[in-house]
Amino acid sequence: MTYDSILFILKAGLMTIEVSALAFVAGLFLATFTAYLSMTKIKVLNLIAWVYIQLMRGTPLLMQMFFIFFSLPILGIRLSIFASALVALTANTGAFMAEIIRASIQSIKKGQWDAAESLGLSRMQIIIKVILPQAIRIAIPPTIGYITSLIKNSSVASTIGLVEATRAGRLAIERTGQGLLTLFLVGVLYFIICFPISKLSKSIEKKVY
Amino acid sequence: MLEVKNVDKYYNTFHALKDISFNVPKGSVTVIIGPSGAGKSTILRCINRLEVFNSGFIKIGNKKIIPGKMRYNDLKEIRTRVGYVAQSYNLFPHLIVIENIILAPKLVLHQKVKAARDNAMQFLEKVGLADKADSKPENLSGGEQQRVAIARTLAMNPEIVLFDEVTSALDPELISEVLNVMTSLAQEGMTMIVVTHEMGFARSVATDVIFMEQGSIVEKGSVADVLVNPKEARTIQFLSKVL
Amino acid sequence: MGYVIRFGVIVENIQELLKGITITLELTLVAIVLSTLTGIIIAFISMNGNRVVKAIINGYVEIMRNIPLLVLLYFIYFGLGEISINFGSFSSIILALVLCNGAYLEEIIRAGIESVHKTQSEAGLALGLHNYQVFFRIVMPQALINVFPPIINQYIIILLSTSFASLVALDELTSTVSRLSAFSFRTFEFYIIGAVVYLVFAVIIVFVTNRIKKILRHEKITKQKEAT
Repeated sequence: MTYDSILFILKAGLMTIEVSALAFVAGLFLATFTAYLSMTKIKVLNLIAWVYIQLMRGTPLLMQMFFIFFSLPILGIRLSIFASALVALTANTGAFMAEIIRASIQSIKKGQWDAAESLGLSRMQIIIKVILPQAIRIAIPPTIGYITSLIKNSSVASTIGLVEATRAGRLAIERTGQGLLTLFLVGVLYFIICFPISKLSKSIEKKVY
Repeated sequence: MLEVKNVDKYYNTFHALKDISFNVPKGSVTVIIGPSGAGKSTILRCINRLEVFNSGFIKIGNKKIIPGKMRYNDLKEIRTRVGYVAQSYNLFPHLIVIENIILAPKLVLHQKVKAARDNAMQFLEKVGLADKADSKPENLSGGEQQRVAIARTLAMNPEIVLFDEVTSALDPELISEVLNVMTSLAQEGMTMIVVTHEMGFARSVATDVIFMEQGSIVEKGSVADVLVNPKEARTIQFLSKVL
Repeated sequence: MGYVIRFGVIVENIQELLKGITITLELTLVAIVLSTLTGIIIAFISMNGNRVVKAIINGYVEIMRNIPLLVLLYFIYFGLGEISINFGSFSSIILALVLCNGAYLEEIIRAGIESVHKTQSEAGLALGLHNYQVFFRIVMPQALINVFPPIINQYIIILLSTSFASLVALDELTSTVSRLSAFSFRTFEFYIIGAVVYLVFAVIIVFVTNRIKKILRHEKITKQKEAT
């Protein structure tokens, strides 16, 4: 297990973090928009959001990535490996986070809306000052859970050639021939990245509240 | 000062309010009594427009509430004049007590923070909770939370306050502290409409009583008329069960 | 764009597709059954074990929670070969799925039981019921009801994870779809079918699991009625 290989894998770990972070931020915007669509009174918009969410949650990420990378070119849309992975992960995030956002907002008792309305606050004021602060706190544990899941899902991008941690591991195996050790190290790398994040959940909750 | 006229409300096909009409003079304390499902909460919630009714109108001073859509500005006017306290107090859990009280004055009445705070402290003292200004709602008892809810409503300087079964969810020993606040409020001349099962309160504080059953007003009048000398059979029946 | 959808391509390749679907189905069923058993057994061991046992199980769960299924799969299929533990394609993917999802299911089951356990046990014991009566007639039925939604969710995750089998040379639905679409240059048709099949399977899983839940509830309720 050469020093070079270890370094190679660690650098690829940065790619894992990078693509996950970008997908999360982009996905969050998409998720907010989708959550909004799913909660409006216009049924057609609800349907669009629902279809999108069901598609993302009901089909394998691997198949989604294959489609974006291998099949879209046939239709004339050629995305790079990184872009394909990013699009797939962003779409995934958009759907899952939309559900988290929606569930958090809908879990707030109607009485809160009533009380705020009775005091004369406008819809916007209620959402920003009363509902969102509570919804965000409720949303933190599942969001942290999703972030972990996202980082693990980034490993799927290795199948379309993105050089993140998992792919780097496989490439390193070809060079060093030591599969067991290398994969073990890759596993440790993911563990080191993900484990602290889930433990972070508790302290973030306290701060925001 | 408040006039309810021919109000009808349907929940889909369910006729929840049937031709409700009554007047609330300034300074009076109107108590609405009746069995569950009578529509008492519903009519209250129509007065501050948390619920929309299908026909008739409600007038508060010179402001009118009508069926159908109303613009936010009109709604704002109504809600600043009509205070509403619900059974489940609904304090905002992410804000401490004093912040709960100054939120609406700041955002809706555009009060400056200092003025809003002073105002809020005044009302907190009035309900006997000045020392809890910096507490979190979750650390207060039910009775204390309900009193804060009342202070929060009073801080908006309403002309009339609606109380929707505000003691029904409280432990017995906590009920009296809330009723005391309501009694002193009445004595100061606040116009109040109170939906309650607390007959003692009704008898000692109310000026008018309305008895509702299954969406209609069965009988209404002064305390003497309704509670002491009820005329309708159904009123007599109901009162015999609760008094 | 000039792309016209022609579903005739599906019909031409129906044999291959069915093969892929069958493999996905097999993998899913086997993985679901084995993961559930694993989850139940480990949950049991965890709840009745001493601190060391609990710590070991916790460690196992944390590992499964924080490493990707793909890495685990590669470790089993490629890595273990070096120390002469050779798992074939089918065994590898099943082992990986069971190890990973078994941990998640164990957490779900254990949480479900523990959430009902305390107050309900007290109530049962206070009424004079025996320890294991309390468990089977009071705690378990309620725990099962609480636990079914997250379990259904996990089963669907298992279904979708079977797609990884394509990376250890098993021709399940995802790889079949991508292969056929590459050969014929007809992308939409195959991917649409693929998506539809997965979605249909997911619906079936939800349906069947709900049925089982109803049957179990009915059984418990009649047993409770008999007890009284």
